[in-house]
Amino acid sequence: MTGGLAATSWFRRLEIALQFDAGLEIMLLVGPGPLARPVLGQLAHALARFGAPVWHRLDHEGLDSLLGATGPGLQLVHGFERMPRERASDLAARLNLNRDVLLGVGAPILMWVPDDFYEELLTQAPDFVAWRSQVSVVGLDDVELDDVELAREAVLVDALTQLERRPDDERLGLRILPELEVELPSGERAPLLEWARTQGAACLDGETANMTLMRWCAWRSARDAEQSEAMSIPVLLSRFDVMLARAAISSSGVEQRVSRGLWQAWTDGDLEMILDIRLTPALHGQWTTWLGHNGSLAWVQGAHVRVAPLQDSQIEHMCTAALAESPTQESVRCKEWLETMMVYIREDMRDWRIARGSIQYLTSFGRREAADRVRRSGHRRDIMNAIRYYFIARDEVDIKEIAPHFDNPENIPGIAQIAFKLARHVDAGFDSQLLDGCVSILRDIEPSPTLVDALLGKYHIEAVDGRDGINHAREAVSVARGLPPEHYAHLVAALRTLALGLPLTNQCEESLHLINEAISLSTTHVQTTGAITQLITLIQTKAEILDDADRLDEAIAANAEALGLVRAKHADSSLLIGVLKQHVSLLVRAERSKEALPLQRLLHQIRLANLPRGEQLGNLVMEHARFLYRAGEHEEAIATQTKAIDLMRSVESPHDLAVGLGTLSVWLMTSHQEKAIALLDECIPLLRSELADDGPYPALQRRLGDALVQRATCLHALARPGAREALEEAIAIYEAVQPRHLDFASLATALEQLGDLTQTSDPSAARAAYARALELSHALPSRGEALPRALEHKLRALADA
Amino acid sequence: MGLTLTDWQRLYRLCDPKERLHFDELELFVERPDSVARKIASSLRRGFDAQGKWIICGSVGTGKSTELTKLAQIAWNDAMVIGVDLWQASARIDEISAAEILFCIGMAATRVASDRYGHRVSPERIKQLESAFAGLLDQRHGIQITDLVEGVALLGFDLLAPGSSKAAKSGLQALRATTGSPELPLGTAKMGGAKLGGLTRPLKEGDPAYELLAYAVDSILDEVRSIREPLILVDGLDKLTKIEAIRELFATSRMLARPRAPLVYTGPVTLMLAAEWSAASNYFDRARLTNLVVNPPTSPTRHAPAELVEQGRAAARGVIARRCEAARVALDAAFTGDALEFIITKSGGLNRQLLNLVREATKQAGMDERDVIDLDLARRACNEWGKEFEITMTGARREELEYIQQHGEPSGGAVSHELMLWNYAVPYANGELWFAPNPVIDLDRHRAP
Repeated sequence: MTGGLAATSWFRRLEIALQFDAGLEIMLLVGPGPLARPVLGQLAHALARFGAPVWHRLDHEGLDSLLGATGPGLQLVHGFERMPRERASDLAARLNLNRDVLLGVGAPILMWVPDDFYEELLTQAPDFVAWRSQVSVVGLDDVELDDVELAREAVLVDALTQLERRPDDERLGLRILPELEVELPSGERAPLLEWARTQGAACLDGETANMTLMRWCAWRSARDAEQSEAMSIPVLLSRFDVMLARAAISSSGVEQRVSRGLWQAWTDGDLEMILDIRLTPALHGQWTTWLGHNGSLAWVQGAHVRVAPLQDSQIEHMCTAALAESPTQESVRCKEWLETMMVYIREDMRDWRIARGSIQYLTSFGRREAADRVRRSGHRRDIMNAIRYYFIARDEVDIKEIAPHFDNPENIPGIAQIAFKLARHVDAGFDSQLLDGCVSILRDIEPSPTLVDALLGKYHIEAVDGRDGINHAREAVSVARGLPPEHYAHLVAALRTLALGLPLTNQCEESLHLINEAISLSTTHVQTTGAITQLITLIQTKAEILDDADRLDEAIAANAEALGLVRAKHADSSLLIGVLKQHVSLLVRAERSKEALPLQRLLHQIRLANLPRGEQLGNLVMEHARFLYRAGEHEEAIATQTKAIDLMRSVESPHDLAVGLGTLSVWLMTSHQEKAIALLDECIPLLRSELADDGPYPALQRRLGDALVQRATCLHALARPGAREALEEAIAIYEAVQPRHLDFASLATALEQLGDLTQTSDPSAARAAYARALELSHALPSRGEALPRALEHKLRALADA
Repeated sequence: MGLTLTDWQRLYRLCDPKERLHFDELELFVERPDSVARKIASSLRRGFDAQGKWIICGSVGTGKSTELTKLAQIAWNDAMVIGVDLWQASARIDEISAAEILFCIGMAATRVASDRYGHRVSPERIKQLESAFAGLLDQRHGIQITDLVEGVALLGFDLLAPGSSKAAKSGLQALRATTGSPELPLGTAKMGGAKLGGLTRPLKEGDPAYELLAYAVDSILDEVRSIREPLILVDGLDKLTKIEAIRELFATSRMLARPRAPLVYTGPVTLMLAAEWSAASNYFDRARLTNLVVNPPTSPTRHAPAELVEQGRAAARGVIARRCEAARVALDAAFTGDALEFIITKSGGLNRQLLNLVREATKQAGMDERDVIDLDLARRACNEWGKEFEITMTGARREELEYIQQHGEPSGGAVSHELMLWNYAVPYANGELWFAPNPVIDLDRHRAP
């Protein structure tokens, strides 16, 4: 029974330690989560002479059971492997905090630590770990465990972790199950657990009985709920599928054995043993149907093929059986791919192509898993694997396009292309390590458009990270120049990227030279194809470069050319909006607002007519109002802003409404103080409420402070009371901002204003305000000496008075 | 005559890593050659540092808390020793603020005065402390001051009269007997009450509310001074892991140095890095609790005189000899000379590791029914402990350790921080500070030939 364990040195060390001290000894056993219960169970048996085992399930009972234990007997602790990481970390921290209480346990503690959690335990519970007598790594080979039992534990661990992870409102968590009731067909209500018993849920012996029953309830309840709402699959079944998939693509011994165990149970008809569910014929039938619909049977087959290849006849038999169990419409699709799959199997491509049946699943999982692996190691071998998963994940890819064997050197270009596509797809951006791998493969072969893309991708990644990746852009241009003419678009893209990326202060000429080359290439192309968008974008880019080089008039001229092309060629509205916005912005910066005004009105009209879904109409109107105000059209700006505020009120957007009110009040505070105060009286409570809901963050604190200062200013101008209180509140809010976000200028100004306000009525308050403002003013180098000097003067005047 | 299984068993039990040294066990304590506790005590006794502020920093297991215990013992009759256990009192030690620490100090002083000397601090002063602190609480947490008062935890040695370590444990058992299984819900210390950490609003020095709190603490300290001069020992800040929190408490803010009484904090190992070390000198005297120097530096750029190494090894031998003596076994009967020296070398001068290695060696001797720990057994014991470090070894950590081995100092950054926190890298001092990889780690194990 314990031959495996007894032969290990860690077991013998543990045994002698217990012999030496049967009091509190902390033994940490580190290994894969699914081994927790089997290993602890075997230890309990092998070490029975040290006392009867007392089990503590951390995921079920938290720390209460362990900390309340008073010995004797072996305290077997596990459960970290059955909870989400955040909960496990929290529990570990509390274990550290309460470690003194363990002194009262007075018996050996054998605690299972999942191997991927040990580091976290060291971090969260350093003092607890320092108390251990032994940490031992337990391997799969140390235990006598058949594959089915291992698979059973793996499903349990995985499913329970997932159950815990689901948001409360979506799940029927284990912990609340005992409190739940079900409504029976008769209309009566009964405790869920009792109901489950009557429904024939399996109850195992011993300590697992309740847990098993509850899990069954969770499964059944979740399943029923989901069936009625036509939602996705039950938790356990979905995890079953994920585990098979993971096992199939993993090189880990544990997962491969899990896969074998699952398969064995399935073929032996003992799957209910794994799931601890007595599968009634009806349930079994539903499940099989589900498997057929979703192609998960292919995963069973795929997993099996990876670990122990089947004969074609066996696979064919299984597929036929699966099809027979899937009488619904979807089975047509299912049949198609199963047949396709069999063709591939017969062509001896069973390894990865058989997995194509789980396209839907891998679309999300495969890509993420692949990216994670590459991030972790970055080896070329992993890139190959990543490519494989990516390929599998894309149902639109024609398999025949891709090399049948990744190890064949002739297929390297294809592999690299896929690597690049994968890198680009990861999180809708670029994956740096994948790109590195891709570039490294592509550099070994002849220049290709994909290498240009990959180099530009690397440039963008490094630019985002704040690094100087300009060499990648230069290399991209160099590679693109060597490509055949039909790849001119790659050269244009590389030229544009390099032109934009060059440090413009001292390389403007080179930058312009490059963009002109790109424009020239594109113009030639337009003459043959008529495709205008790229050319317009390039001219816009030229305008940007000129603008950055402070050659504003030339920039306006270039952008005007782009605008002319857009109008002449009736390009789409998004392009027109982009060019118009840039033109308006350039004109305003060149202090030609009057000239910009009609264009802005046009822009506003076009944007209103093409309002993108989700964009707030109120914000768009407010943006227009701001432009009008800056252009000196104050009356129209105020009317437009009032309209924007009405729009924001109608869509109940308190934050935007507060911003709009604040802006309008600033515009009105010199001429219409009463109106400004009314607006601020609406704005300030909104900001206060937002601060209370979202907690303090600097921008919001500053906004509220500013609004209060404005209110104080208006009240003071109207000689109405409350100005001092508003200023004091504003100062308190500014001061509460975290030091590194402190707005010295606003705070100093508010303090100075408070000083001015109170210098006759409360000189000591005024003195304190001026003194603090003076202190702050030293942190405002942009104000030179003027502010400190003015404050010193005011302080002296106060002292003289 | 060789040792029997029973002898090994006794020695094994006496090397328990869980036991913090108590007064009645201090005879097992071998004073390190550069005892910080004695230096501070001596300085206080001579009146040089009547308001001194110290930080004792060092890596995990160097005995920072033991030094506090030792200091408490030395000063016990001359001063009112006020011990605060911030680790127990706080839910999130990295978020604890200077104001919360001051509050703990004030409350601990009132409790010690009452529990040990039967003196009840004037209710007005306590009220003043509570209301000053209440004014600093961030109202969003909805915490009541009365909940916090109960959460303030005293250091263990305050609870333990000489010889009472066993009594404390039996007390805990008695508690269980009366209440059944003790409930330890989230967010409460075993002494009850709410937990500190991140409860105060952002504050600046010079804030009147802050000043009021410092004043309230000082007025309590002034009152208890009429009984005896207070000596405040604060444990727990060595558990800080966030560098921002460490800087704020020890370098940026001077609030921790405000109370008018001699004060000793334990500080995190990160303070041993050069930049943090010098920043903390603004307000504190600093004491580096490095490890016994039992080996010459691994880096050719660092030097330690042979006599320093020998002194450290002699202290380590003394630790083992005392444990053996307590276990009633003769040192030379338990270990062959080379085995003892090997274990000392591999201990890296870390007290807890030294005891763990001895403990492991006794296990190995018990397993093989040997009557003496020879070099072979010692090697096996050290290998077993070395394997534990292997579990979390990564390429980046190995590279950093090799850097430390070569240069005698960490390269800085998150990996260095981890290695120091987990004792992969061990600090030593001889006027200047240097680091070395923990010698129990076999860095050559996976190195390419």
